Amino acid sequence: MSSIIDLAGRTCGWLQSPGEHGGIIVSSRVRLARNVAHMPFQRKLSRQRQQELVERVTECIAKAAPWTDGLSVQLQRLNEAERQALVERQLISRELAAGKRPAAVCVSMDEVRSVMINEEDHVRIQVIQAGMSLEENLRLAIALDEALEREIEWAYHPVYGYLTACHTNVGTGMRASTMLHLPALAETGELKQVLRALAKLHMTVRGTHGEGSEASGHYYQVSNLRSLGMLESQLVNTIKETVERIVAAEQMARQALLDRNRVRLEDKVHRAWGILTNARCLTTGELTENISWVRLGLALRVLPDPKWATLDRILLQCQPAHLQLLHADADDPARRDPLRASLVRDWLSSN
Amino acid sequence: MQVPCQLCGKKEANIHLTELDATGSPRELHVCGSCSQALGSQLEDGPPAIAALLEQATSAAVASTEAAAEAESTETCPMCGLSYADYSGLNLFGCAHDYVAFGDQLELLLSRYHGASHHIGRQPSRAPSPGPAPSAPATATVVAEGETNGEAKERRRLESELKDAVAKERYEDAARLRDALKGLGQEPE
Repeated sequence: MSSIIDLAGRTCGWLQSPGEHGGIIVSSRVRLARNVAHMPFQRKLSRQRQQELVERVTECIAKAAPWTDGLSVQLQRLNEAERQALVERQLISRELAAGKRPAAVCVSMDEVRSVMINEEDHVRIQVIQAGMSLEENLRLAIALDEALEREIEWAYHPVYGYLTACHTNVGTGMRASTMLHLPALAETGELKQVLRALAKLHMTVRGTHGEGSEASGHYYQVSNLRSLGMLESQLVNTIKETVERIVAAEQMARQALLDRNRVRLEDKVHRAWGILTNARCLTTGELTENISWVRLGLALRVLPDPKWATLDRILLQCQPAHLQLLHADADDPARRDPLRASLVRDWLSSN
Repeated sequence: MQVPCQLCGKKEANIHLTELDATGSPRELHVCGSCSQALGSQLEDGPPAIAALLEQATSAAVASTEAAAEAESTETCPMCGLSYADYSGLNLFGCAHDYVAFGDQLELLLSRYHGASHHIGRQPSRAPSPGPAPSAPATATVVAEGETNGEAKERRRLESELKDAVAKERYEDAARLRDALKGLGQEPE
């Protein structure tokens, strides 16, 4: 069984750039929302029954998906930094990390498959991998759902499908999302048009950490809004087709930036590189913003130097909770910023 | 032949309009007296465009049904005690039975958000256990026993849903189901 510190010290599977299309498609995720049959949903469930549910579902997962060296942990036993590290690795939602109710998460060793217990719904199955992996993720999520179904009966209605705590998830209980890096569309100002078009297609764009989160470093999550009246495979295909169009738009915007004013683009990229390799203090915000330009520079061969894997490692392990878990004396943001800057300089120079 | 009004679906239609579309195929609209009054002047202003009339009348009908449903939103779930008004506040149901207890309002809510109110995706392979769970309405899909091929099972389910949707004139659902069937590919010989 792994600990959170073991996890934090590793790279993670969904962040393996460049992935497809020069790092535009970062990762893809499928999640299925499920509730246990004959049991009230969260808002009508007592604390005691929530705790019983955590134990029961954890046991079922251990039987249905015996993940060697995985992680299975109740959140109330973790400190704040450990919870946040799970959020930074996209294994749990911010809501689950912040919630006061008994909750747990089970994660496979490779962090591809995970199950959250007592989020808004009793159970949320997640499969996340690098690149455009929605079809494979759907296959894995269904396999895990089928294995769990042998142990647990889900709340299901022949007309409405899988019943969820909120009407926005009912039916398939599925949300398919793809995380995209779109610096050029943001820079040319075309992103707003893309977002408007997505709304018409019943899709939504969110920041890195889901609902209500800011898009920092030009990362955007595109996902389906509707979950009812379509097959799971149709939902996946719709997202896939839309993502292909956004990728094409981003590629055109990248070319336009090069054609219109190559020097200006080079200046932006090299300034970002200069900050990362020289700064003595770096906040998380500065880091993600500048890494974003360096990634773009690397994709467009404006910058030959850094390796994708080094940038990924920096993005993951220089987040606040990862720093706190992996380094002594990193509890205070004022101490983290110099530490972050020094790690970034070291990693980029040894590359 | 008695035809129900296409707008309210309740009264018998006594006004019948036929129009040829761009491809020359006829398109028909059958409405009752009260609905034709609601359409009023547009019918008097010469031959109306059926598609436009239908769209307009449907949105008016939806609005009035929504208003009616919201006015009577006093329903409370006998299982968990949640009222529909409570649900609207947080957008969180109290239990699975709310989906049955809130009937009409729920259908509207789902149609508004998802553009559909019927699930066509995966279903659990295990049979539901008896218990205080919501009961299956008459439209529940019956899958033939002994069927082993997952795709054939899925096809049968979709076909039955499609038949039901067409019979009940839920054309949007029907179109979606037809697409879903196409998505499954050709039936093996």
